[in-house]
Amino acid sequence: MPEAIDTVEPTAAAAPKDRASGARRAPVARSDRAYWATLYGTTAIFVVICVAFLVTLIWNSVPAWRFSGLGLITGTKWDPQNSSYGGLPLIVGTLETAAIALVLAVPIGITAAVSIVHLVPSRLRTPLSSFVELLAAVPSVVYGMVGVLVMAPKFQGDVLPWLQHVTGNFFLFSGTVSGYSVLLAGTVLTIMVLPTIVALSRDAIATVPHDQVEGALSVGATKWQTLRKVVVPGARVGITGAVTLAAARALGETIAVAMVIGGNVHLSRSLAQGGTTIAAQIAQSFDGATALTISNLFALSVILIAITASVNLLGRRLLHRANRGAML
Amino acid sequence: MRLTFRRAATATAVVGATFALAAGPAFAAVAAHSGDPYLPTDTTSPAATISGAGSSFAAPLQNTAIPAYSARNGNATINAYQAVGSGTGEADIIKAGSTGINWGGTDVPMGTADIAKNCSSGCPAITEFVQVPIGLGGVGISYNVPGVKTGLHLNATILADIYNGVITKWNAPQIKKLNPKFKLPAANIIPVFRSDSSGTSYIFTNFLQVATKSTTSSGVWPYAPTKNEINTYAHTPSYGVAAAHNGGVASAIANTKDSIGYVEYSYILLNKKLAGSVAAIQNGKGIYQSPTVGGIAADAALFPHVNSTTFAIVFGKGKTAYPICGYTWAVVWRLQNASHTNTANNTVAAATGTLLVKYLDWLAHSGTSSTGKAGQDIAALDGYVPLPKNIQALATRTLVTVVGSANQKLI
Amino acid sequence: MSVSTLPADPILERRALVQSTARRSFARRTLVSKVMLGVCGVTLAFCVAILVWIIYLLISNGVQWISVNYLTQDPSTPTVLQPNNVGGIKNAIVGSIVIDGLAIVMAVPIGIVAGLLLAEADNAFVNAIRTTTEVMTGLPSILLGVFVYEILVIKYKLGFSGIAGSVALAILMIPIIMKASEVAVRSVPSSLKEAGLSLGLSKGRVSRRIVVPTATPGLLTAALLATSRAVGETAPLLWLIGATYTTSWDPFKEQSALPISIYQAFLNGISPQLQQSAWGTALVLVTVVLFLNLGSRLAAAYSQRERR
Repeated sequence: MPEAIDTVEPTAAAAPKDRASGARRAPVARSDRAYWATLYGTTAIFVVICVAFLVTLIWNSVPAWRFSGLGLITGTKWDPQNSSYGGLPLIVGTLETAAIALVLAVPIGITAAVSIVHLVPSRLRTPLSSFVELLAAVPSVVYGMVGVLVMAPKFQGDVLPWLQHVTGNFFLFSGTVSGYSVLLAGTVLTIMVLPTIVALSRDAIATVPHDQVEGALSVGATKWQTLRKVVVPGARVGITGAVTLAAARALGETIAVAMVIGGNVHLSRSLAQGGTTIAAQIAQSFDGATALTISNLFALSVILIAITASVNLLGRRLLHRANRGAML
Repeated sequence: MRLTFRRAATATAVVGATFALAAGPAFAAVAAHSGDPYLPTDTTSPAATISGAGSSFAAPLQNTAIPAYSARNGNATINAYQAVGSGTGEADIIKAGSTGINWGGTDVPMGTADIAKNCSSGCPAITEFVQVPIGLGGVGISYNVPGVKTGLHLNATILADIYNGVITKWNAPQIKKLNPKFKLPAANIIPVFRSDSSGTSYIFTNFLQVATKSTTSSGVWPYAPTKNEINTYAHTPSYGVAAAHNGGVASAIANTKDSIGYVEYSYILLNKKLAGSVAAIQNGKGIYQSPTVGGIAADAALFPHVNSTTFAIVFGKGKTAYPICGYTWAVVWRLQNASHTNTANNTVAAATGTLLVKYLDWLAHSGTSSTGKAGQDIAALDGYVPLPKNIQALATRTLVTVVGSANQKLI
Repeated sequence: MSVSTLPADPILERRALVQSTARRSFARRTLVSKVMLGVCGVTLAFCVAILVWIIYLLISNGVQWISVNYLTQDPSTPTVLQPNNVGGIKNAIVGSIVIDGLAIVMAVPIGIVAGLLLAEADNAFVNAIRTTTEVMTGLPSILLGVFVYEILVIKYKLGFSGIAGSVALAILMIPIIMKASEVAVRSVPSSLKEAGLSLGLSKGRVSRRIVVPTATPGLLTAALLATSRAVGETAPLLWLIGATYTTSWDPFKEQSALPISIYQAFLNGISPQLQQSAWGTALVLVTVVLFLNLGSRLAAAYSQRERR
């Protein structure tokens, strides 16, 4: 699908006029040094900011580690008033919401991406995928608003009671429901990460060589079999990347989640009840938190960064491996 | 019993009507003198900019008062009040040299422990601050239960049990017993509480503790009230909803079926959905009272001796008193110099300090026919109760101790 | 599929078996294929429907608020006497323009130059930076707000100000711009660069005269993409800009911003009217963001057409 790929066609539109203006010769070595100095110097600003950021975060989290120790990760009771900082409910909430978002968004996103590339008439391809990608541009505070004003009452009135009914009050969905819930947060996150998954999987799927697709079809595979056995596996590199990026976004999303998750720090087994995430808890209780509480929130942020960073790096590694595999 | 209720209700209505009647002429006076500043000196206040942050309990008051004052004093620029919660108000004023905040709003006066919690080294002493009462309000209990109208009777024990997760259904026998006339559904109760540091939480939980005669180790509500973190937080059941600020709680109640929550009275007045279902709470005399301006005033009148260390005014033993009330305070540095105001130099600091004390003085007083409407008259528009005269005097006594860098008086 | 008796003509038998199995299998596979392709179509329709739904919600709830007054007045707070008095969002519009404008000024040059480095150099340092960039783009944006609050607002006594918000947004934008401009620069054909170098141009000159001009549409895409992300960000601004109700063009004073105004009206919203007016602000914000986003797409499309 050439128009969907970010292909690079080597043509030289800008070259001739530049060639003319570049006729004056500069002493190459010195100029090169200045050039690299500019590049490295400017990038160093960014590096300094990143280092300052990490140092600030870690430095501020030291009192928390001293105070709470490992209890910050394993403790189940988050009760700042009584100086009890058990971060497990926050960590679990963060992972739960992201997991729900991925479980819902990955199948929807990949099948939608497959449709864009292989089912939709080529004229509609670009408009449709742009349209879906615009979902990513909608600010998260707007998703939060929609979540609270429109979706939360529906969740309380219809969705969650229905889930409890059909699952026979399965523990994951049981309990008194207010609408504000881990499930609602996960659902809002699903909408927010869908465009990421669709766009990146679409790009990946479009790069699967056409002869492979036609080969599969020619040996009698149905279109679905071709998509499932050839196209999607062939695009697993990009799809993994898509899911990784989506996971990182879901783990770190703040405002929308803070607005809909109910801010409840209990370690509840039910996804139908409120919960909280690390980022949402910072948004909800940074106001007026004591120095020690802020330090503990910082420490949890360090954990969150560690999680997002490792998800990211793991994804990159997988991509790397898959890339090598694909090249053989 | 029921006779008592009726009498109480009548009394409340009478007090309310008196206030309404009193308000009429006050507004007429305002209309006649709308160009006048409250204090003659106000027009001479140097051009300066001040800002405040803190208690969302005080936000409706500040939101109305700031434009009104700015309209009177052309030299004044007062930034919009940041309703970030009492705890942040204190943190921001302690760090005023950085934040540039000139007064912090809190519903519970700041103490030494609050400074320690917000500061790690070179911390100021509590005596370096002055705390001015600027408003008096009530905490209303509102609920959102389809088919249940306003005026549900509730007492502290029931509220504590709801927030403890002991009472879980709207038709629980304890609630039914107090409300024979109501048709209560078998729905689950969803308590809404604050997620941030909140003076409103303090007032509410202080009421629960005092009214149920609990101590920190025994009783229905065995928790010490504190504003520093969400007091009710870890004790509340897993199905509760936490929301930031009074506004957040108000919208959570309005948006969630079968919920109940506590918000400052003016938030109830402003929000039709909440105003349609407000609980009557049992006061110290055993009488159920809905929040009204008169009821809050009656409660405050029972506690004449208020200062920045003795401030709780909940559960008054008066027939017409509404039991969940509190003052809201402004915290200010006593010494208005450059390092306490994030200004360029001590001259600018003195100018902002002058504007600050004048604004707070105006805010903490009722106007007279010669001065026109002042802060406390505006407070009445938003459902706050004008500060009693002795408290207004306390505000002035406190504000005159604020000085500039050369120890000069600012007011 | 076990054949119990020995067939008379094994080959024919087997062929028949294979054919019938194939026929049955083909029917089944075709059916499965049709159903599953249908499912794929439905999920795509679902994705499209979500955006349509959100735009519908914004327009149906928000359009009644949009008026000249709403866009050109400062907000006023509803009182008990005037519960419908919500005013406008001029403060937030001006604040967003100033804060985002300064963030662009800070982030775009740094982001593009750093992106150039990522594309041009290949060593351990650059790889480390690339990894850092990846991590930074996945970072919860609220942490940037907390960071700038601790450092600029408190430690360096900047106070609540628009510029503090700009810095936080700029830090958010830099890695996005870096990544996108790395892609843009890499997509400049190496034959062009080599042609320049072979003429004896210095590396810097090749970058300035050949690479950057050729990659301009891509760089524009990068900048617009990052801007459209930054304009809608709430979390990093929460504790930085003071969120004032009065319009200020001075970035060193307290300002407001559109997403903050929504969050305020919504969560600190005292009255239902104020809360509902957040739909109006959201409509304005989403319109702006969608136009920026479409702009970046047009730039990208233009750059592809250029190349073709």
